[in-house]
Amino acid sequence: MLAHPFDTILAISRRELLIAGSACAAAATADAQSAPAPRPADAPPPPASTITLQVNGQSHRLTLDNRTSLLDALREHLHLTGTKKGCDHGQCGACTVLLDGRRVNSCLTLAVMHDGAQLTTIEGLGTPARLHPLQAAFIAHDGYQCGYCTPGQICSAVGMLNELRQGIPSHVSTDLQARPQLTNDELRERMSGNICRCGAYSNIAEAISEVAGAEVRS
Amino acid sequence: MDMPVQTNKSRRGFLKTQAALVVGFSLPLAARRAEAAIDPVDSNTFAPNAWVRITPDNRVSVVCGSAEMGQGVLTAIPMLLAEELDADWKLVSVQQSPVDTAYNNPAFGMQATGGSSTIRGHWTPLRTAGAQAREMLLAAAAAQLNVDASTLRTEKSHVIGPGGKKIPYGALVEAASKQPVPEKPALKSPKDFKIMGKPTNRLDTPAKINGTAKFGIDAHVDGMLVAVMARAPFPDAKPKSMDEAKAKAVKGVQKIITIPSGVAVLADGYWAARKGRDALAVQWDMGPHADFDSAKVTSQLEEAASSANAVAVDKGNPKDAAANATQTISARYEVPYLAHACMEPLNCTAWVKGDEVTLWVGTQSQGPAQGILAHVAEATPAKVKINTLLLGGGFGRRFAPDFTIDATLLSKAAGSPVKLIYAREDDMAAGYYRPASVVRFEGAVDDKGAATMLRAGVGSPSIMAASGFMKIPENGVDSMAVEGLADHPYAIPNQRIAYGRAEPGPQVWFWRSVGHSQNAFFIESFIDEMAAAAKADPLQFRLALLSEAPRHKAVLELAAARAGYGKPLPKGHVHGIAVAESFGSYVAEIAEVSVAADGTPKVHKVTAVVDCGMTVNPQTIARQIEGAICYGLSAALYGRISYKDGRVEQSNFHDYPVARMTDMPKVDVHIMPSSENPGGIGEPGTPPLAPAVTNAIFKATGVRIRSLPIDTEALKKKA
Amino acid sequence: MKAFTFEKAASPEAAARAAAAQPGARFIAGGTNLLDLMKLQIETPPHLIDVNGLGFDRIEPTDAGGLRIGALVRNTDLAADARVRRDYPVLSRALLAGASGQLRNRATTAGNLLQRTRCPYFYDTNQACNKRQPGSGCAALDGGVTRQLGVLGTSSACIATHPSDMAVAMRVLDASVETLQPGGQARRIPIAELHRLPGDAPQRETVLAPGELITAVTLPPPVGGVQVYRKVRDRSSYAFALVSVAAIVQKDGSGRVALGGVAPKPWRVEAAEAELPWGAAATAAKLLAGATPTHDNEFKLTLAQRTLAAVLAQAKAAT
Repeated sequence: MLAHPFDTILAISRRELLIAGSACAAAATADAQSAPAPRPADAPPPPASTITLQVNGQSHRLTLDNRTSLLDALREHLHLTGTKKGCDHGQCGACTVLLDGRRVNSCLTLAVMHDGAQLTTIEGLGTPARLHPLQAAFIAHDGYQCGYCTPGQICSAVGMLNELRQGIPSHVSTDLQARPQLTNDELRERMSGNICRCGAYSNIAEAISEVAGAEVRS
Repeated sequence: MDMPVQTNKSRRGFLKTQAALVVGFSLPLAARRAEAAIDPVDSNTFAPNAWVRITPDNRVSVVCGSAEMGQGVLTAIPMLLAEELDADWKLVSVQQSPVDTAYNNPAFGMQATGGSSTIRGHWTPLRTAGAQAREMLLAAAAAQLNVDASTLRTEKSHVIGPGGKKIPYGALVEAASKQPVPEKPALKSPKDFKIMGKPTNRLDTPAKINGTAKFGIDAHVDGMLVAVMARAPFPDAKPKSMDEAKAKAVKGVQKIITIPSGVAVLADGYWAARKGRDALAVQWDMGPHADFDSAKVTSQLEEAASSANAVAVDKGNPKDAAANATQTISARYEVPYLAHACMEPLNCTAWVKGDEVTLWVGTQSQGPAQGILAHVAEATPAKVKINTLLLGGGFGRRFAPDFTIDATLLSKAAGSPVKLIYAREDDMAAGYYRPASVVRFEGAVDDKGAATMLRAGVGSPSIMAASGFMKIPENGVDSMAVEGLADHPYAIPNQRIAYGRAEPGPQVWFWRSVGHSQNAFFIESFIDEMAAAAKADPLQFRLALLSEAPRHKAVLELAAARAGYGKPLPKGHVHGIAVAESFGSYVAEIAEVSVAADGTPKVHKVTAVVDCGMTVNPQTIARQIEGAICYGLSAALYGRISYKDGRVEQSNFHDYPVARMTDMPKVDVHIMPSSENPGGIGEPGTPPLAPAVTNAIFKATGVRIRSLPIDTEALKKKA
Repeated sequence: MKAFTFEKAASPEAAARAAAAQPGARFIAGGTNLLDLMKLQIETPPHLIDVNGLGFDRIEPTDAGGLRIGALVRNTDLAADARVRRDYPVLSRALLAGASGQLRNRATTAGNLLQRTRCPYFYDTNQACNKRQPGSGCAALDGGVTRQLGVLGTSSACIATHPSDMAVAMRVLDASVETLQPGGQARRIPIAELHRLPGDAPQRETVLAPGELITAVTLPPPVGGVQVYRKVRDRSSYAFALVSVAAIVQKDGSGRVALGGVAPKPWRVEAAEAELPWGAAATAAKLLAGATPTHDNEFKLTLAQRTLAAVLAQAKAAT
């Protein structure tokens, strides 16, 4: 029988906490932005690029390690934590933002590829005084529970409604050449890139339908 | 082993909470003020107990000790209190409490959220807290107006006096604070409820729709290092080698620290930590587990199920009944380990400074964490502060202390704040799964088509033993391994239900609806098999056996009526039914399903009827039932954690699929009016879903699904 | 992800030269496959060349009456183009059957063709994989689960399949791939020849030379007919095809068919197409001839035939 993990953990003594290797154990920095630990002398200069991102109407100049995903640039460098990380591999949609008006998974693109691009995140949709219609609809229709997938759902819905307006068909569009309508099947197919583990799907669908319907009516 | 938790009274275990949730209790309300709450209590605040604060501007702030993971406690807790307080709901707000025994969940005796217990546990205490405050306000107003308190009434945060004179509560703050705190204030009769029982919008808006809502993963502490861990692929595996030089060469990596659960790389940011961890390339000594695989799990569970002898139910004479039966049937059922797969990957930010520990985390178990972390950090329990942030899904996973322990150990070793983040792949492989389980059934029906015998042997790991704070009782029955099966509602005269413990190795834990999640699938499928053996309609067969279970019967009958059970359905569509009680609530689900030629089932609609006693927020109840159905659907269609060569095979949502919007059926939830005490609502919607769907599949195809996830190969039309 | 240097290519020629100059350098366009693989350290290019600004983002008629699709046209735009929907609907349908709205908004035509297999053993760096590490073995063939993997065109070194839906449609439409080589020469590769079969070098997936940049994909003039793309998804792996069929069926029953999900490249056997008027069984017999399924994925042969039958029935109903 395996030892219980709590047994193991609670039985540890200070001795058992190993700090491997002294060479890199620089004193913990008081400020995350201060100079990092010294690199080995012969390592090449870290590959980084300087870019300008327009996020929610504000310009940000950033010098980033090339590997930084757009998602991490938003969350860790710009401290815009509204956009969420769920899977980091483009499968769950929690990281959806609007890039030049199109919905994309920010986890699967590099920040350095978007010098000069216009980005809208959940923080940029609407204001406290004037919510974006989708935000208001999500409230009215209780379109969330834990709320973690919600920013991605809302941004994805904004992008999706744009695509619908542009007449872009989907996998379930029966007539490929016709102007697509937002039927129940269409809405679900188009939003299938956004997972909700709380299962608030029907309320999300209602919220989106209401806004789509209002657009059709207006 | 005992968990060193600080409580101010004897600890109640989960068992007791399931048996009969305590409505009366003793919580020392008088003179109870919480230490160091979010808003300081000063002379300008009326705060007769830990939960309510009223300020001169007439606003009411309710302090909530429960964790919010989408189940609506941040709204329901205030509703309980605001009702008895007669507050104007528009003036009510909520704030998260610190960790403090004042906020112990009365159902558990510790500050923790789970077991669908928040409403049940707080039903009387929070109402009492609101009523207390109301009586003190009335007494203060009576003194001010020089009348008898009986001539006054309250309405929407005002005391109404003779001649209609209205005094806002805010004007009575100082005077009310001087009143004695009544121990047993009168509570409203449910027929007088104005707030409870009405669909009410959440209070955690607009933060959740504008990006400002803060989850654990959003925490930021200046000077923090971000940690990503190489965690043992199997419990007890030990690191045997690693490439420290390569990890250190990654820009931004600051430290490499080994703790019991694995090796952590700490860096300035997530990517550096992640790349450092990958570069570390830890090689693991898997010991005896190097060839562990799912086949081994199954064989161990089989063995345990076959030899199960910890008897949970022993009634009549099953052996004789079997011998004399007209017809006996037997079947073997199996379900796999399941991951919780919360949308927000596991994380915890911790800062150990001397004998103080501060956490920023989404956790379901603040109370236990305080004690455990004080121990691991060698700190003073009272100096363990937990900032409870929002949870991006809990489902029981965030009740476990593993990620908080690791973050605390790392911060202590690093001497700085540490934010531990799990990549989705790490989260998926990190254990604490819903147990895999096998059951062997035997049943008998007589020549009149009545069920006369039921025998079941369950083989599965023990959550009680895994929990760290419960023990398997002397009779050897892990109540969680058999809940939903041992306490099924059917009046079958001869029964023997026994548990056999198997411990294949993976760490197991509470998963939404716990043992009910597999046992409802087991029993509701086998009852359906017995109905088929008796050539009876599944609904009628069940109803005949529910003579001792009126609440089960009522929800099942109503669900059948609402679903149009027995009436014509569109071509290819069939109904499957299931009913289950868990956590004090009774849920019947009827699934309308069709099966395509390639074997893919499509669930078109689920009709659910829930009897959860008196309701607080019917809007939340409907969402929770629908959400629990979705969670159950993912498990029925896709969920499976499997092992090969000692490692979990699944890593992300491409190989651990979950229900998407395209899978979601239409759900019709009906809440049965009831004057019973409230039951739980977070979990009860999940257990009936899988069997309702698989019972429908049997009706559609003649193929009985006895293991999950549903194998569509078996359902393909042979043509 | 391993560290890399990054440049935005100023011109196609510069891009091709930069790629040839830095061994291991990769072009990045949409990045939805490449970045996924880089995060898992399956791809570790030391240098990335961003080709998004090169202007290959138009769809224009060719002199022959077909279409030239720029390499950088996003999948969404390609699927939605009115000419494609009208004249090459199998291409629209195939594109819309894959991924999600968010991914289609970034993925490009060329990137889609060049995406790499989703074989779970290729993805799991703990497992032996000749594609990832030549000579290391194939964990799939060596006692692994091969249910999702190839039945045609495979070898004893590798049975991975190509995951693209779009490529199957391109194959049935007789597309051609236009490229620019580092030396400045342009060439044209028929789609049938773009992807290599694994043989004993599964790590070489296309005939492209290092630094060779796809600039466009051209389609011949439209051939009409009823065009269908039908995808049977693998339930345990949400997005990818177990088997898919792209078909173009004319009124007289003749036509073309290509299969996806069964081979390292879209599978089309022109000789089998003569059997189309005689139905799925006759066509499948020739189309699937020489198949080397494993015990686990044998079912794909029947599934392919059944799916083809359903497609032909659908096409017939539509004429």
